[in-house]
Amino acid sequence: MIAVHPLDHVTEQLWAPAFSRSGALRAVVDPAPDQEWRTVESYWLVPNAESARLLVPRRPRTTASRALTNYRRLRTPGTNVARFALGAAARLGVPLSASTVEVQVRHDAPPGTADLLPLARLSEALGRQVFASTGVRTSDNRKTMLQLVDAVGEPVGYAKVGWDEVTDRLVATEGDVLAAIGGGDGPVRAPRLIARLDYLGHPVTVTEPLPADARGSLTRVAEPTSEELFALTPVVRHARIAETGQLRAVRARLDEALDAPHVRELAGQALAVSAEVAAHDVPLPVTDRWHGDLAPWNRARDAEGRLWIWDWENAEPDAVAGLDALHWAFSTQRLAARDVDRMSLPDALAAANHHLAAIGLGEADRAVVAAAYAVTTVERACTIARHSGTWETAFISPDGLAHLLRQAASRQESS
Amino acid sequence: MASTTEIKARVPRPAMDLANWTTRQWGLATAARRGLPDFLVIGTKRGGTTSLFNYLLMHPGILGLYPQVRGRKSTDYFFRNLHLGEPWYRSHFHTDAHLERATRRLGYRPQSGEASPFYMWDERIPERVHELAPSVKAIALVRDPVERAWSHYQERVQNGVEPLSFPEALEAEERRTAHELERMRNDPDYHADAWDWYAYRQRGVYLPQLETWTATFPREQLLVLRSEDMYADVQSAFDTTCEFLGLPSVELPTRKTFNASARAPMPESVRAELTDFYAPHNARLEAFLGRSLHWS
Repeated sequence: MIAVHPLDHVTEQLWAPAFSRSGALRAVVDPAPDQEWRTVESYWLVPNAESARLLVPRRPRTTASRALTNYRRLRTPGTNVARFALGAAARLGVPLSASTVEVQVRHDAPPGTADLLPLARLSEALGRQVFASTGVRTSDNRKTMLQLVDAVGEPVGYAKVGWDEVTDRLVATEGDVLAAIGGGDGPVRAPRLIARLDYLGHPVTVTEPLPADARGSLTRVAEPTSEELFALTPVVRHARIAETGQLRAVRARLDEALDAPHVRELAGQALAVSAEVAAHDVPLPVTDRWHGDLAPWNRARDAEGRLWIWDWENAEPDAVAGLDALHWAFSTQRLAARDVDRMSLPDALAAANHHLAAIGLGEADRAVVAAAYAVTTVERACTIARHSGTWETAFISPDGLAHLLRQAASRQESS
Repeated sequence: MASTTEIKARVPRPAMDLANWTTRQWGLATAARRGLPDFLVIGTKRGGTTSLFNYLLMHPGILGLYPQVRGRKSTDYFFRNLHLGEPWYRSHFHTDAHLERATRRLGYRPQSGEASPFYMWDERIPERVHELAPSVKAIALVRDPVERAWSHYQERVQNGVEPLSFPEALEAEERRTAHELERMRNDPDYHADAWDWYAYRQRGVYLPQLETWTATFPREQLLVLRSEDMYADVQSAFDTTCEFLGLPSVELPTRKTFNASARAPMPESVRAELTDFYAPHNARLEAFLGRSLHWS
């Protein structure tokens, strides 16, 4: 496989639409002085150009410093040590890296050309100049998430930017869901939507900053209670699982996946298990949606103990209750797993059992929901692999997914 | 002046853990010289168990669990901590020497006990208690089961484990708790939170719970109090309990309620349904107790 320069990912996910609209825009690493081009945005490539993981705005210095050190309670102490060292260096004007990337506009470009850039559009939508830092994303469903700050480095929010068919749908979904939730007013909150805009045909969703006192350590924040787990995704009806929109959509996507040779076998196995799931004829509690990726890395608690849940891009409507509880358990297991291909569905079910009982699922129902979760996980991986044409970027291999399905099938049989 | 609870809250967690570990080790090292409970307050949940136990602790002849400064109400030994063994359980009670000193000071032998509403709800417990302490006296508080169910539900909501509305929770009760009793019968070490948390309706059917105790202990070793009687006249309920335990009664310094929760009104339709459900069960309980309970 040919190595891709980190900046190519950023360009693909962030600037490509503007660059394709105007040849008078470009992004260049360490450009030589050139009278023909004027820099409009400038970022440190941290730690270096060849293995950049972070883009930090170069100016103003305070902005650069704060962009590195905001949200410190969401990071591990080790990461914070590095961030604070970098933040102090930025404040003193010490270079953070040997390399920069400059976003430039050609001198002879028509007026307004620079306004095509996403940061200019965000500044316009938010009514003030904003600066952004961002990580370099290379995984499945990669997309740019900009951490926005103002001229003095105060957090303004987060912006997610779609760049292809898949990520456009994810970003739009998150916008729709956050608009519907409206932030929440109880013990569980989702960041409020502060802007939605179109970036040359791609959706952008901007959410409010997380509270400065929100703690997001993976291990030291209390797990969601059952009440919290269902606070933003309440039960709205009871129905057979076959009649839920979520399972229907999953099965439809698995049907489509049968067309792709490299996912066909797994999709077929998942369809077989989904047929067993769909045969369960007991009405089950159905939530208006499930979060879709409720995991320790997508939540924090503020100083008053309120739970904040973000990253709703995988949410799906009309889902059997309990999928989020199982995903939470599975994701927690994943954090400690030596071999993700051998993760245990029964262990996840045992860990989620109290939540499933809390929402009113009987024992046999819980095994069915666990099987539905396994099918959903496999379908999601199949769909990504179908779009990307490869399994190379999947967090779990086809063998691991088949293992998951076998466990789901045996749970079903023994329940 | 700061209360014990306030002082404890100021002590750093590691220091508290060390103190607890040290006292428990001492308790274990001297377990052979320690006694067993004289009484157990066995329930019912949301029926005033905590309040009655705290009133009893105000009696000079009642000793709290060792070490008393921790202010613990229960060991949870008979359903959660059985695997820790009898010496561990004994480590929570006072030494014979301590009891002798207290006896000399008081002029009568003081008594020790603990309180857990699960002791009435877990049918395995009476036999376990009998095996260890056959002369123990049990005190049960029974409360209007309709009010009890609602209070129990509200407590679960406050504890963050109840995502359903009260009617939904009642409807889901059987599914939530199915097979748990069977598991408890098959596995002596099994403890189900769902059995404790979500049995809002079944836990108000008191007679079978009391019968597990009378099937194991002589009837005269069980005192059944009506919670409403205690709420209305704390001193009187306290005096009755002291008489049952063979202790002289004393004037209580306070009659405040402990572990009460804020009340919201119960949905009327649910109240009516529960009232109908409990009517025959309450009638059988009244026959068993030989008195009217005057419940809804």
